Amino acid sequence: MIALIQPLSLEITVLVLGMLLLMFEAFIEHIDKQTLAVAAIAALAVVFLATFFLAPNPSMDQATGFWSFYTADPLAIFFKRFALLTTILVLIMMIDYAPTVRHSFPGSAKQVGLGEFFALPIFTCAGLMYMASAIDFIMIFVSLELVTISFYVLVSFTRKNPATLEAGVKYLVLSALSTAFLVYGITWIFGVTGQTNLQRIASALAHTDLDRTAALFGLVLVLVALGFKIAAVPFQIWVPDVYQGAPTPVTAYLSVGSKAAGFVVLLRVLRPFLIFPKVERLIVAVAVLTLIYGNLAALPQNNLKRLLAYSSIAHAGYLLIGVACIDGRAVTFYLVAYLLMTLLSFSVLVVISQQAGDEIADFDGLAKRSPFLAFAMLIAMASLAGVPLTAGFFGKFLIFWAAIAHQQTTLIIVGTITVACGFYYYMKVVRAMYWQPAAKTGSIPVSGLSKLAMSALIVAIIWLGIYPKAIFKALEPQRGPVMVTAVESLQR
Amino acid sequence: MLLLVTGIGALIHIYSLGYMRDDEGKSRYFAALSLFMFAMLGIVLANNFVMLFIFWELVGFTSYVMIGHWFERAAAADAAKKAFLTNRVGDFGFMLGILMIWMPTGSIIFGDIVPQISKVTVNPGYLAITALLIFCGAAAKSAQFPLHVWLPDAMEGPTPVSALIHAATMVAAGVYMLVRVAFVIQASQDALLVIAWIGTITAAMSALIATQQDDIKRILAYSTLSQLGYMVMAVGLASNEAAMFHLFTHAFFKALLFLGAGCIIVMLHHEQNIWKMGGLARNLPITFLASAVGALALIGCPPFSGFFSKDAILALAYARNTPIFLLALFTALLTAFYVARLFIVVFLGKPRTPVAKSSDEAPFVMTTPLIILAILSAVSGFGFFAQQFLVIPHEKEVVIWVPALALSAVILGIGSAAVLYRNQTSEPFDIELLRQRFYIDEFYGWFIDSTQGLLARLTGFCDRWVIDAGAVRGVSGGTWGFGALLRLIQVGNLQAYSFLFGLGIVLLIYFTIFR
Amino acid sequence: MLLLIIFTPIVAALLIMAGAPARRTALLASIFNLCLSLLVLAAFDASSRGFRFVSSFPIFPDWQLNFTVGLDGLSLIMLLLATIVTLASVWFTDKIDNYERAFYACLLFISGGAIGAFASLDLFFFYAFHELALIPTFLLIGIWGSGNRSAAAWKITIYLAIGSFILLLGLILLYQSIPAGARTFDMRALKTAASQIPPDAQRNIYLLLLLGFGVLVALFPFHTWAPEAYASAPAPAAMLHAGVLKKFGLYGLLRLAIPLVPAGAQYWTGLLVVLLLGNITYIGFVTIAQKRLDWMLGYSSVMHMGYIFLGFASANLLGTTGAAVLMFAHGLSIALLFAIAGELRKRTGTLVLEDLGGLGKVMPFAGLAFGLGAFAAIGLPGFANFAAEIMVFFGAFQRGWEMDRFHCFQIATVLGLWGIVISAVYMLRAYRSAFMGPIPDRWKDVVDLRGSLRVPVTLLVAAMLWFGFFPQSFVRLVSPAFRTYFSASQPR
Repeated sequence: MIALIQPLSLEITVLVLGMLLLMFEAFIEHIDKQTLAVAAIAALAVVFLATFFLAPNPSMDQATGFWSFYTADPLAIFFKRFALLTTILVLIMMIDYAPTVRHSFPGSAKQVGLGEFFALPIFTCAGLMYMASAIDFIMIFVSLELVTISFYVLVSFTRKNPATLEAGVKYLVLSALSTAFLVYGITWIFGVTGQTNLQRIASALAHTDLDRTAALFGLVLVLVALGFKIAAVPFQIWVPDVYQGAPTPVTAYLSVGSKAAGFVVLLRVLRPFLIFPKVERLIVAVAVLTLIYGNLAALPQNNLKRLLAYSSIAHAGYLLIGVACIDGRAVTFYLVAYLLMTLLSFSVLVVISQQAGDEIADFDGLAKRSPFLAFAMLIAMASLAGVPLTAGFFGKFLIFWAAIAHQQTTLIIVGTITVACGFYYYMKVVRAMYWQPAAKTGSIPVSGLSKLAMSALIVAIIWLGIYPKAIFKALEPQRGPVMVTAVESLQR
Repeated sequence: MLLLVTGIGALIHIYSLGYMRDDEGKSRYFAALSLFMFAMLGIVLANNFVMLFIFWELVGFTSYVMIGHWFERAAAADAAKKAFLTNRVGDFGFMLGILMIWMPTGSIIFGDIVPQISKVTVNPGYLAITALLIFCGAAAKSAQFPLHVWLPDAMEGPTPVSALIHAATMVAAGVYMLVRVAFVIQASQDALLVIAWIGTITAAMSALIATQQDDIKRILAYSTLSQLGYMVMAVGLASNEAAMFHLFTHAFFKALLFLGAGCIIVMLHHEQNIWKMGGLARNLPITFLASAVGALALIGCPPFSGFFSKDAILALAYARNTPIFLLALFTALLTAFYVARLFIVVFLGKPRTPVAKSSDEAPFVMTTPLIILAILSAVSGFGFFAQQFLVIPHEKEVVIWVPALALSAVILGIGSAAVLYRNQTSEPFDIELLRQRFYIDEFYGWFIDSTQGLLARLTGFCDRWVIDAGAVRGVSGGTWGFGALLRLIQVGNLQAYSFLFGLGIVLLIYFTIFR
Repeated sequence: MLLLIIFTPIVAALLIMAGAPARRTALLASIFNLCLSLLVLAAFDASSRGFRFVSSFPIFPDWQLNFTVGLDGLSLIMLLLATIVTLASVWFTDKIDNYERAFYACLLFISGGAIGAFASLDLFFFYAFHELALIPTFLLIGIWGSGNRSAAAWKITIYLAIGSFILLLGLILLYQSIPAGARTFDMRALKTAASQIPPDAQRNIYLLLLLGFGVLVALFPFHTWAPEAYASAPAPAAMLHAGVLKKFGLYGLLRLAIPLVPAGAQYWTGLLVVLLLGNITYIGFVTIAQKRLDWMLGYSSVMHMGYIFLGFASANLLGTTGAAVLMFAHGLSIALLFAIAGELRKRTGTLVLEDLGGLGKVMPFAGLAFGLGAFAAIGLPGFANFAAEIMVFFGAFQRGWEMDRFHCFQIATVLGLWGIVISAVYMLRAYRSAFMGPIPDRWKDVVDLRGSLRVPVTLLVAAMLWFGFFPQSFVRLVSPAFRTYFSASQPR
């Protein structure tokens, strides 16, 4: 008899875990901080397993708690798992990154600061999980803030490095700016419809005697914040600098976790407003600009971290194509693929940056020094570029599938050009690893846990490239409007 | 035809044993020779166009291999290439002609086309073009003007090869083919006229050139061209029998002359310039006698075979086309002239070099084929002999004029040569135009360079710089440049970022709300 | 059985990467594969229609996406070509100084990709297998190439990536144009399914497919990637790519584009004829202008693609059969030519035609082999190329013939025939410059091909001669498949 767990208890568990970690770290003197991290990973893994034993949910978007703020529909559960997995992998990266963190803290006590470093992502994780379930603007705002504030600290964690501090300040200011617009937009929408719950807003908007312009205005402002989160043009300006300055595992977390949660919220928020044709045009325009900016600006980059920053903008563009075609399945699959390949590339980057730095030139001759790392990076780059038989290809396949089905010709043409661009800058790394002679020699040590994680990611990328069914099955039970539209579109 | 090919082929094989004894590429030579026999016999035995074409090309290939046998010599390598390429041009026309005849009649088998030929004759223009295209192939193989340029250069190959290929068999293949597909060619009067004229022009032109050449093999090569012209002329005058008769006799005496030349060349240690020979009648008696027979046959002196076959063609021309007849007669005169010149300079008089003085007769293995061929050249003109193999042409009336005129031309030619070249030590005349072969090779070189060469350079340039550097690299460079521009937006200044942020919001609102 | 043939190279590549002795494993795998394909050839029953040796595994039943493989006459000869050339190219690989294992692994991946693509009966895996070869090509040219290898590697990879992407869009459009109930990825069922596509949609689909496949085959004017790539690639890579991989595009046109969207094919015939004449005449002249042997061979392979396209465009049984046989024949001859050219480069260090000369004296075997290859390429009877070319010419001339005037196809045939003169010009010129003539002093000590290298050469020549003397064996295999395409009205 398997005890069925309430979905709400998941986040609560995670929050409690975070607080426990902080307390352990504060009150127990001689504990190896790495144990803390490992314990956190283990605990999160347990929570992950627990998501498979949840109490069944009647239907999509039906609120299950918190004054109808919270839902536990399949989409939410899926992205909770997504957030948990991301956090686990990021924590593994953080363990590798620990020496750098140590260097940036004054003080004689060893491993100072590491406890917080390991504990903060757990709070962020809780915030991401809340974002996945939020169906009310208030909840969206609160969870968004939880995530953002934890990121404020994380981004500027290694504060001895001026670049990090600069990144932190930029992130703080611009994010605060976007949040301000978010709240303002929520106010406008509330003013027009009198509701903050998305479902009720949808039914309110169905009345035609409403002030559409005002609602649209409110939506645009809300989209400012969401655009900030997902790094869409014109709100992507913070991305290169912040990504480059932040500690690498935090960059990875920002790139994957924050973006995915942003997209989930975007999908949910857009649904009531899709009755306005202007909204679709807006999304298409933003997608085109994002694609162009992200891919073209990445071409001349020589710093891998910055390149990955631009690449994350580019991928936001592809995801926006999926959003414009209202294909939730494509977006979700692409996000999963994105998780795998981005985190894989970042994990390799973390190891290399400890040794050398994060320029592309630091990867020269990697194939000779560590064939395993080079291969891992090769798979990651191939998947990011969209080479078939990798998950990244399947993601792009689904996105362009939806685009063709919706006859979005502009998006298709721009997408084709950008795919070609992508090949260039991703293959630049491959070229460095395999063709260029190595500057230094000697093998590079990789911890067992990292190796395990990287191998798992490689296998997952190739597995999903050949057999994507696993993900589709996970999305199957949904019959909510978002998913129905996707399936319907395929059968047109 | 079959007997001709195998017979002469056998003789050449035996001869080659002696000629190529000291050559290091012997195995390559004999392999190619056998391959050539295979291809040639294929042409003879083919009963449809495609098979014919297949063996046609194979003959071209094997002749490439054999002309270029001594490929380390630049001249030989170039000659082989020239031969193959010229033949390829002919093959182009030939294949086109095959396609054109295939479509209306629905078949490529000779036997099946003949009853269907009315489907083609319906359109005389179409028929004429088809016939001329097919002739194109023959023109290349039989070295007719303007595709004759490869034959003289092909003399770079070993002499037995010249004898077999460029005297007896391969070049005859063109004529043979024309006779084979006569059902197409003879159906079109226009085509016949063109063919006859081309043959005549070739005959006259090459005879003129031959009078001024100094290399023994070149003279014989141009003589071959000339005689081939006669054969093609006969085809054009719609008498297959006359053409085949001349082909038959020509094979014998030309092979004989070439082999004789080969004996001389080998015994004089690979000397080919006639002005370095002389007085060889004493030193190489068998060669001398055999070559005399061959020469007389070539000139058309009775009772040798050449007289009968050439006479048949002349009679034909007299009956059917007067201008051609006159030119043919003139060519006969020239033939006599240059052959006599050759003979006098090489065999008579005094030896001009020590090498010539001390030469000996060729070995038995080489002289035996000479003797056999001499006998054949002598008798093959007579009816009782030739009837075994061919249909002898006979005109309705035996016009006495033709043989008389022919004989007078012969005597005139021999006489003038004797007068001019007796006891000369070097060439007294120098007619540059003829010596340089009417500058046709130079013209072709220029022509090919200015058309093909120019096109090649132009397209090469276009591909490298317009398509590749311009379009392809332009696109990629442009994209890259645009990207470099975009990255400049990241100025690093927080206030600027906030400003851009706000600007973005304003634009978004503007485009959503107000447009 | 078929699965074994497909996966042997891939498994061998993985084994080599894991540490098996590189050359031995690769050789064994290729020989084994060749024997298997010969067995399949012997066991193949040409009389019955349909596909043989079929095996199928479901991947995504909703979309009718299964991993299905099978053979008919056409794919059988392509398979044979692939296995023969793989063996030759693996055998010709010289001693590699760096990353020896990676070299053989890359070769085998390309081979496996090609074989998988030819054997695939499912649209998705057909595409995916071909893409498997993309990154190995990039690495092969970039790491072990010569000359301007970096630029060549970039060019080919990005160009082919764009081409493949356009192809993907075409395939997706094809799938989506089929009415919902009949949709399938299975190529066997697609013929009936595709008959329901309206003609105007067929035009767009065909155009995309033509462009996509055309780029992959170096159709004029999308050909500029080919000569540079082949000139810079190491000889085994050039052999595999020019000989086998390029044929994928042609195979795709034959298998998919022409039968499935015939109205589209009909509509765009004019365009195709113009472009293919560009291949034959324009590229023919460019080839004459080349001063280096490797560039000349690269351009010549582009030129010969024009003949194959001519066969396709003629849209009758004769022309198409000729084109299919020419695919096989050309693959063999170009592989041989590149192999010898590679050996020349290795032994003399240069491929500039003016610098070479007289090599026939010191390298008689190589001279003979190159001569045979050259004459095969220009269509000398006795080799398979002639049989194929003559069928193409007859088929092309046949189309739309009228006695009164020459139409489009007759003019195309004339120009195509002139191509045999052009090809003779450049091949013989090259042969003359390289192998004939007086030998300069510096080449007096060049060594000829040794015993073990003579084996693959003999293999290639034997195959060319065998199928040149018995082309009926091919025609018998291939015709039944094509008869179904042209079951409609036929002039003769």
